Amino acid sequence: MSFAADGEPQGAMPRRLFTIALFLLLLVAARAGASATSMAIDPLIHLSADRVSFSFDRYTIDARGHVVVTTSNGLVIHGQTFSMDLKLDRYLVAGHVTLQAGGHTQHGAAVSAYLQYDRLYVVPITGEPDRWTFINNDLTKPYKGLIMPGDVFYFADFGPKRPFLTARSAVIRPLHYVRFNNVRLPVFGAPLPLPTYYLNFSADPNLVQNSLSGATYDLTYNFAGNEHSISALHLRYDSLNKGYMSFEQHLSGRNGYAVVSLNPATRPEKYWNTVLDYQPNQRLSIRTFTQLYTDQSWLHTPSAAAQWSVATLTYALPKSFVQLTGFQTNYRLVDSPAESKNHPTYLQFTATTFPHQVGKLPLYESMNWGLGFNHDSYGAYGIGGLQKFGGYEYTTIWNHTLGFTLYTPSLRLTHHVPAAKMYYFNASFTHSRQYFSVPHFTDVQTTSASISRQFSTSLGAYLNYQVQNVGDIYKVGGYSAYTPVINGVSYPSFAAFRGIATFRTLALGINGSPDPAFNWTILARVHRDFPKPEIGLFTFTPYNVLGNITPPAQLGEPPYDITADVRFRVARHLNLEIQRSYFFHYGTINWSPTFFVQFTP
Amino acid sequence: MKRIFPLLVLSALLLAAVAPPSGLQMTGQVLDFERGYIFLTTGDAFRLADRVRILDAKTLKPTARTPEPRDFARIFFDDFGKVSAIELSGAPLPIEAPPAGIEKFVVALSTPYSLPTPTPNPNAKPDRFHPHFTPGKIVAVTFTVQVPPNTPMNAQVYITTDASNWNPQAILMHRIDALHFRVTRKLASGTDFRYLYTRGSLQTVERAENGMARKPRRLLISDADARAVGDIVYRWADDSSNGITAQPNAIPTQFNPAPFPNLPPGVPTPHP
Repeated sequence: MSFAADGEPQGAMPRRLFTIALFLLLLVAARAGASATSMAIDPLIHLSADRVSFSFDRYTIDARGHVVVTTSNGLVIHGQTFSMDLKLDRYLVAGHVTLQAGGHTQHGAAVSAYLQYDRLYVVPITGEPDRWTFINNDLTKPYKGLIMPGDVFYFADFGPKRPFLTARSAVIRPLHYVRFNNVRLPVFGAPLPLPTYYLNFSADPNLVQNSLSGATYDLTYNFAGNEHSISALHLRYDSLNKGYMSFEQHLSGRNGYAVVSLNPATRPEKYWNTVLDYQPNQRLSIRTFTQLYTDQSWLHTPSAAAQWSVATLTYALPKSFVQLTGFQTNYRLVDSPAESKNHPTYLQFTATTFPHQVGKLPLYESMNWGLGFNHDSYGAYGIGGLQKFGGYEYTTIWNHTLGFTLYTPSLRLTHHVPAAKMYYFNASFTHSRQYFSVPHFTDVQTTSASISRQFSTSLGAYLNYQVQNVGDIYKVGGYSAYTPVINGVSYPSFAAFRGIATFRTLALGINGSPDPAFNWTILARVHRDFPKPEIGLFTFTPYNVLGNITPPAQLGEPPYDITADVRFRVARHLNLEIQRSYFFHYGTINWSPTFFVQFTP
Repeated sequence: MKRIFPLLVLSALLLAAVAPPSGLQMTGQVLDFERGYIFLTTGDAFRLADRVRILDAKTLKPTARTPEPRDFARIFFDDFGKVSAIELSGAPLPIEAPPAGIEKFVVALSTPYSLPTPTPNPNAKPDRFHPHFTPGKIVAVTFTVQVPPNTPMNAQVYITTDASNWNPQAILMHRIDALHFRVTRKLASGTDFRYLYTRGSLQTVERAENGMARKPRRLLISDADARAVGDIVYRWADDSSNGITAQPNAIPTQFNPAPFPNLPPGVPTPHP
């Protein structure tokens, strides 16, 4: 066993973290299992047939030939064909049907089950055909002659398209998921055989929480799962890692959820992420995010490893809430001289009030206050401490924050006019000041006002003006005059910068939605910022995967831009969005780097 | 002429044998065909005549195939109300309702059972929603949401729903002023629509006013011609009032008390 510089056995830290993460996961899984028992209300349906087809468009299952349906509440149905609408939560078995339950057998033409209402509608053949209804799973008592819904024996609409997949059998948990077995998934016209395919359609958004970073392309294969878990493989591509594979495990219960992922799994630089969210009651919630970075070939001993964790505890009060956030980073978990040994710790306590109306005015306010502790005894990459100022290295910095927000809801500017001629006014003002134990404070102040008008039900426009002042102000000294020289080009306009920047933006937005399946927007903006944006002075703000600029106020915004966005439906469950921006008079930058094209269900 | 006459008679006889009978007829989709009955998806069953002719609806020629579930059929009745011929088709046939007189041949409906209205399963039935309207009508639903004042001006707001398997960018909304976004969607009445607002990912989903994760909003679409929904988002999950947000696959940057993320290279750090 080798030892790292600080005496810890090499690799002990990842193992300890792994143990803690495993324990927390087991806790969440146990909670999920416990709640699963109490939440299971619908029977589990096992379906087998010569051919089981699934339509993604309609969320319907169609099975033909030697159909056998077995439910977890003791029902066995044989028939020629099966049809189920997963969203409507009902299924139908038709053609030479045999219904078996509790040692009894009944022959008939069709059986239709309305699972949400525990109704079973049957067309039995007892000498002559009849109609019977069974209620609350009591199959000993047929209610004869009850009026049935008019479409009770209708086959679910499968649509004209080819099935999304075919299989030999399926397990269905109504209103939650379906898991197909012996699957054939058409890929470019050829059937791709898969052992299983899991599809979740539950109302639980926590089952699709993710812990993966963005990728240019992501093909997800859910290979296992039930109503409280999903196991998924991701085939991904991005410009840095190229093609690679990732794994993600989701767990969800009544009071929390967990997500664990390994991404990329097939590249040396791996990120092991864990998200845990636990809300034991309506007032308290705990959320953690832990990331372990390793540089290792497959699962061999890593040559480098780092970890960071953030945990947030939120407690709700009657008119406010408080949050305690802890943040810990270890840049070096194995003995790697290339990595920094520093391990900063941040703790932050904040209190935030609910929006509150000021008197009877059309004005709302909310406030927040915070206290923070930041510590790093090693310092960042040999710099020493967290910040150097006045010849002193600060290894601990305290800070406290005070902020408030004032805003108006939509105020009518015109009265007694038709809605299409009505103008509305909005305004907001936010101010936040953060004091540090290093003698300086930062100010962020944003003022925004807009006028809007809806010209018709399908056409609206707004004009917005926003001023943002950002300052980093030192009681003594601070930023000194400096003229950057980059690639031999001097930028004297920056010399006036002393730690205060101003961003002014005038925006005109027009949007039209002549049809819910088709809508468009045009956004034209003028920026007047200080320091003045000049080509090559500031790095150009990259677009994220959503096509948005991520930081709200970055230096170097191009002075004029116009963005057009069109979104329309190309199939029943598929929308296409196309977006592109144009920048005026900003050096060689005219068009945004690429068209932003996105398909969404 | 003598040659033609027998040919005409023969043709007429053939046509009479092959062509479907005229008179009482209807169309429907087959549910089952057995034990002397044909069953339709309406739940009705009709007794078969002793010799039923099965024809192909396209060619009108006899076929050896027997009706199977999902087949579409045109059914002909004889004078006794029994099914005398069936034309089969794989595609839907024009709707032909049963003539008034045919009702008496429907074999169904026992003597009505006298019992009170059955109680639905209290665990499974939706608790708050008791629809008393026609489902399936297309309704234009307009969602308008007020977002927190600290929402970036360049942010996009989406609706994520269970209908899209919680895709965080399922429905794009349009900004209508500094604080409001709006979108109109066509939804079928009867839809139990569960949704949340996001800024494009589940890391930026809305939170409750008290900072806790909120349960999905729920909307049952009634059969009105149009519907307007107004919601308020009080805060986003990534609101960084404490200055810390977690993003996957990113080693955190060093502590930086300066609020400027992209100062030019070489700018001296603050000093006394």
